Amino acid sequence: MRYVRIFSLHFQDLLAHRSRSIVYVFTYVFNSLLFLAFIRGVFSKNSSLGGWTLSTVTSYYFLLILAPALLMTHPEMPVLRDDIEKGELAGRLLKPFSYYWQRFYHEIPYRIFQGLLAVVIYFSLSAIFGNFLRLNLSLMQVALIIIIFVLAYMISFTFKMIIAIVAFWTTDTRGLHELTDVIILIFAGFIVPVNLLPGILEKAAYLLPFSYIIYFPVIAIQGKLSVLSMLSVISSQIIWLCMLVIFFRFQWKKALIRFTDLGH
Amino acid sequence: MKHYFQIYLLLIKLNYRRSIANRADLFTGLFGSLSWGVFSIVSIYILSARSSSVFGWSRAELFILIGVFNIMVGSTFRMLFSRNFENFSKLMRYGELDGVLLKPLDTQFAVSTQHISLYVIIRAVIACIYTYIVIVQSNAVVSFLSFLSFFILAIIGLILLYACWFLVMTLTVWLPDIYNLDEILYSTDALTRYPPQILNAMKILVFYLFFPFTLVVSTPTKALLHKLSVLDVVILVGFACGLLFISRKFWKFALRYYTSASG
Repeated sequence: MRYVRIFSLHFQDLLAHRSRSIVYVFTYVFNSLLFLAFIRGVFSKNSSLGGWTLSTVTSYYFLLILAPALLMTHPEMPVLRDDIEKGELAGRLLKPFSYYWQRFYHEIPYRIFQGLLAVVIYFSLSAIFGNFLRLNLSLMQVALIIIIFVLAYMISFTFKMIIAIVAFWTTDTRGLHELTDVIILIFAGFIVPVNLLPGILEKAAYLLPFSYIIYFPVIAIQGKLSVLSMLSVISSQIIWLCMLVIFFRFQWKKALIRFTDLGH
Repeated sequence: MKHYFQIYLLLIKLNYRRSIANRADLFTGLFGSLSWGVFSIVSIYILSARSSSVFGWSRAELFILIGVFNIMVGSTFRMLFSRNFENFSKLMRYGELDGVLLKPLDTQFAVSTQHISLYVIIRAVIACIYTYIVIVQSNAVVSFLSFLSFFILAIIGLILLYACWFLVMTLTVWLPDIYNLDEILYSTDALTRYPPQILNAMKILVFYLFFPFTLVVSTPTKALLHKLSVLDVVILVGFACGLLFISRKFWKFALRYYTSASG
């Protein structure tokens, strides 16, 4: 029950400042449509590229509005701004919840609210452009997609928490955040689907965890993955999540030793 | 005018001292700025990897366009104005505009010029070297006249971009709580690094509202590539003058509704 209460408190906080979330969703829409528009220019000379047609690639970019709204977590700014710079961490450490889960519950309402907004925008765009997404999934596939989404969320959150607590050492991580954003934009499949990335970038994208946060969940919804491929994606996601969690725990222990309460 | 010039020189000195005092800020800012510079080049490399030309622009021309984008928007605009616009919602939310209004200065000048991110000069130098290299590699011939017209149009393009940002950020007088309004403009800025024809491919009427953004970089680049027409110049100058005039009037109008932090 107490978890529900924590969640509802954070949700109330979010609703009080809902216009900020609307702005963020607008940026997802704009960036996605911009890349789609450019790719349309490329497709005007080719009917298909790397197994993608104009209609499948259009549905891919539409889903790219939904996927980051739901899955791309951002705990790094509140950790830096509130916990490190304002010194609120001391209070958080006294609470009977681990820091990881406190931040987790803080983040969830934002993903739900922005995700719902993105769904509305997705259907509005489908009404304008035509629905390019043909959902023809079995019950088994739907269950696996849900697992892929949950794991994608956990990978995204744990990775961002690792980046966030670098602030314990440097106290200013804005440059690192921007670098991380750039790397994610390239390797998660935001610019083009990962299999359309040129040469070494494609190979690197499959080796890094970012494609498991955005690219694979999106193509799973599109029905581009067989049950066997989905199981393989889930295995890779579990391996990445385990590695990230182990690294986070190790880093957190070191960070607590280094922690200096700047605000007090 | 001389008075404002002297104040601006003083602001440059103050910002230099601030940069030196906060070195960590300087390095993370530079690191972030360079990251986005690299991203702009990599993204066009990825997007155009499977096509020799897009929207009538060859791959080499698109790389020059990105170079010009990095000089104009990524470096010059970010150095002179972006930080000031980011500060707008803080000015309104905490009532800090009160102090600005009391100064014997034009308020638009005061709120637009306070912060100068001098570290971005390094990005500007790298962007100039990059642009020079891609121009040489593409065998484009840049004459003195085309360079001069590029330079003049780049200044007009920056005025246009400034007017667009100022027009939107003035809304924070009514919406001080939306502290991330500048995020919309950072996103729409991305339009400046693509050919204007991209708007036709977006196929949504409302996006034509962002048409002025597509002129900012593409028109000066056309001057460099000898593709400029009189109509391009007229459209750019028309939009720059028109939007600068409107943004100024809108700011004066908005100030009547400013109620400070207690409002």
